[in-house]
Amino acid sequence: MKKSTMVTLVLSGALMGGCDNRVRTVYQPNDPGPAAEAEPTNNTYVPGMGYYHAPYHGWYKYPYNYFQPDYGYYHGGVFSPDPAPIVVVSSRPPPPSTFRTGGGVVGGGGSHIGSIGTGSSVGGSSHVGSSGIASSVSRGGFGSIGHGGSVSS
Amino acid sequence: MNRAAISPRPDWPAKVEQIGLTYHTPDGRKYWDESVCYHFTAAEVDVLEKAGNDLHALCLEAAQHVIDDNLFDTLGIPPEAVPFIKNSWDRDDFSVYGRFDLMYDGRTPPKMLEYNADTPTALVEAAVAQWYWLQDVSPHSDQFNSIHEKLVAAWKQFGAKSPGNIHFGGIKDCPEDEQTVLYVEDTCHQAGLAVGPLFIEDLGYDKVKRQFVDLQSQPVRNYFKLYPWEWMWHEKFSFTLKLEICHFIEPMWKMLLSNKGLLPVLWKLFPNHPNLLPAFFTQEELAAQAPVGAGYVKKPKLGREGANISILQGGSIFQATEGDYGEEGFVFQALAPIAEFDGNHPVMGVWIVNHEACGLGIREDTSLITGNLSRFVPHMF
Repeated sequence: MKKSTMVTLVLSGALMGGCDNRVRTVYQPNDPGPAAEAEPTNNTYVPGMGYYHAPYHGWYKYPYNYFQPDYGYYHGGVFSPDPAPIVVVSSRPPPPSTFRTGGGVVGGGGSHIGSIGTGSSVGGSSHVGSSGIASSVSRGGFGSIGHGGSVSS
Repeated sequence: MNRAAISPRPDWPAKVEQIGLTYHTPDGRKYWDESVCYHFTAAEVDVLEKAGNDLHALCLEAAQHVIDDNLFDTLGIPPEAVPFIKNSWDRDDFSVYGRFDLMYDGRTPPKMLEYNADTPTALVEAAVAQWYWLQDVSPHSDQFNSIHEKLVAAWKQFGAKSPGNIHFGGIKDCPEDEQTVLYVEDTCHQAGLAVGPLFIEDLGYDKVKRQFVDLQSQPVRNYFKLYPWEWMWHEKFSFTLKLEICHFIEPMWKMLLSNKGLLPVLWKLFPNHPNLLPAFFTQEELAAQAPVGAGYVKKPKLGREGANISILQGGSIFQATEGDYGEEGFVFQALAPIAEFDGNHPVMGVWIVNHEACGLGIREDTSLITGNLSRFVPHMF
């Protein structure tokens, strides 16, 4: 036999099962909490849905407080001149991070949006985040070259 | 080896979507095609498997030759990348996968067209979709496809060497790439490693801590990228590649194998090898040293999805594709014996996982040039 004895999909197979399942995949498997009812953490990304903005309880195209030069900060579906304020997520505390492991969810972080990336910029340059402290993190330094589609070969 | 028409499963779109093949009909054009399939004998599959293993070994030898003879410039590799490619090679940085594209008709030895060693796709189709298809249509038949379990095993090996979280990402807004990355991430997850998504555009660099970070500002020390090395070396963050602060997968030494400039090197080192075609860096060399009565192919050293390829016969262009590649130069390869089944030309994608040939994905087209819209057709034996 030259074929796999079994092909099991844990993350990607669940993806197509509908909205609830998509959210559930964030914490699969062995999530310490009731995954189906858990609200995703801020900036959780799910293909086909986008980024979860916890204060708005919705999915959007760009990360929370995504910074775009000449446009501003993205939150709740719109760009605005100022970043969204640091607020406590109103949902019950999410798992510590969105990292998935065979042994459960691991990693640091917390339920405050301010702790998960509001100080970082997207677009290739650092900037002053919502905390008023200049961020040392730049993003967008890779991924700028494309030929209009898949990078596949 | 033959091509047979069969009845598609009535609910095939839903079936393949459920397992991640959401891009089965891009822009209304059939990509996943289960109205036909290829049948092989076990001996033919053995031939393909051996060709994959032999060619992978040859490519590693050729890569060593490129390093020893300092042929980086000939391959169009930027000088600043060279020391770090060498470091990656000397460390034997972990490689998970690659895909050879071979021409094969079941009669003559498979011929290597190229090695997609850095960012191969059509993986969900080969590893998952055609496996589930076979379970539905002919569960007692075999298939050259242990890709899934080999991927899981490979990640276990990686985890033993390089413990820690692994991030996975490609570019945004590309369903095929997203599904490919998610599937590879899935196999890593099933190997028991901690995984998480991170688009390459979202990969952050912390200049104070001198480390990559994710959207939660957590360090990124292992990153599976579905994004070409040759692009990364031309981008704003290219300076970070010199810091060697992250295990990238595929590793940087794969720049030597994913480069079509390796084809002339292979032919020089292993002339007349049954799985190689005559290939040279110039059209004149090819004309002088190889019989090209059937024609030859002009390929960019660094190209993708069949772009910027010309097939020349009798001194004139027979078929050609457009695109944005070719800046690094071209190679000239003798035209392979054309496999044709019912007017279709299949290309055998032989998958290498952790240095072992372990699967086959077939794409076919009525054109001689396999492009991003060439149909994926399942197989069995």
